[in-house]
Amino acid sequence: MTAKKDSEGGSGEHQLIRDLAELLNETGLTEIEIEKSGLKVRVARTLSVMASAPAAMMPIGGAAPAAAGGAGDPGKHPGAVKSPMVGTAYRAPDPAAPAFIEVGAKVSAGDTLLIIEAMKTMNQIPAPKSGTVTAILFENGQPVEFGEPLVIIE
Amino acid sequence: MMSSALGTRVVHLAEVGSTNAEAMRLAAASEAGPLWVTADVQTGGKGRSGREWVSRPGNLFASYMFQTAAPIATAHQLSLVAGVAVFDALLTCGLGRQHGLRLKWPNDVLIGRAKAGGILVESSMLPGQPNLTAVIGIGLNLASHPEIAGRDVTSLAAQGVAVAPADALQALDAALTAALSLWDESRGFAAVRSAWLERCGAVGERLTVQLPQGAITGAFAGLDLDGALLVEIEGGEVRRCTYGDVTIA
Repeated sequence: MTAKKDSEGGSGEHQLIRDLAELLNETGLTEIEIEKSGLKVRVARTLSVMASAPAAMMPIGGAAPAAAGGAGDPGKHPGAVKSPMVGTAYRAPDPAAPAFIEVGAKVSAGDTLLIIEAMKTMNQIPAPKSGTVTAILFENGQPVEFGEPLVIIE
Repeated sequence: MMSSALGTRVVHLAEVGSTNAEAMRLAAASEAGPLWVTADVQTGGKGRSGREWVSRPGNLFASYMFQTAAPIATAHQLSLVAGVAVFDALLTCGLGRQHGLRLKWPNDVLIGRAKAGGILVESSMLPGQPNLTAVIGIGLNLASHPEIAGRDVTSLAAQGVAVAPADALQALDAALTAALSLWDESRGFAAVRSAWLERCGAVGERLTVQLPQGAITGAFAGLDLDGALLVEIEGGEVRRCTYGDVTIA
């Protein structure tokens, strides 16, 4: 949130800015600008800030989306491993082999989590960090889209 | 054992489980590519979906490992790059269109309807490494081929073309180096796609694509800009295929 005034003033202006800032939050608007008696005050917050840090904006904005990392959307989970490509996801190196991971498994950064096949190219998707697998979000042999959450590591 | 007879470094092993797995292991151990991993004997050769690749003495099994700045989302393009390279290497070895040499989507190298070799491309963003590691595994039936029920398989020898593994590797190295240069870390994929289309079957050829949800049959209609197979089915609708086993009807 930014507040800027174009002329010097006393505590009256401070109160005005404070009032406008409160109004901004109550209404969910992104910008309010008023001009009166040669005094121009503009109070604004930027949407980009809101989009990239919804949790931080929540207490002020009120209109921000629900908490990041909520159970409802695994794609927003901080431990979500997302698909870097379109293809078919496999849990094991071949149909007869055991799966790379199961829920509850401990993995180290770099361990292969799954394979995504795209036009007969087999792409190993490694764990970006060490941790415990808390969810596997795809079925073996399932088509996956770019950016789709596949695994959650916590 | 290392050899430098080619333009590319070669790690030759008497025996290995899988040249692809060994190449990826070397990359994970921070070995810089490009390099070839070859072996006299491959005991656990890999095909797609865990199919065994039967590795006979006198045939070539070699894996080319390299690092690339290309994004992982373009790794699938290497299937077409490898197909073009193997086609060109077999031309150098003395095969040609007169033998029925051709590509089948995405990277099968056929002599007529019979498979003369296999390609298995793998990629991985290895931990601690900024670039994508890719391994192009190539098996060529030079001296002999296994009999596989339900599959049409051949060898160069069966076509009357005698090639030693070392000579085939040299031809492959030159052809793959050229194809990767054309690819230009994915920037040149349009040229690779064109090269592939010059080496495949004719547009209109009847194809069947086996998909998990069932088979589709139609006429080959070229490749989409991303390399996906286009098949025109009855009624004129064109379907895009990014996976599936293709057979020539």
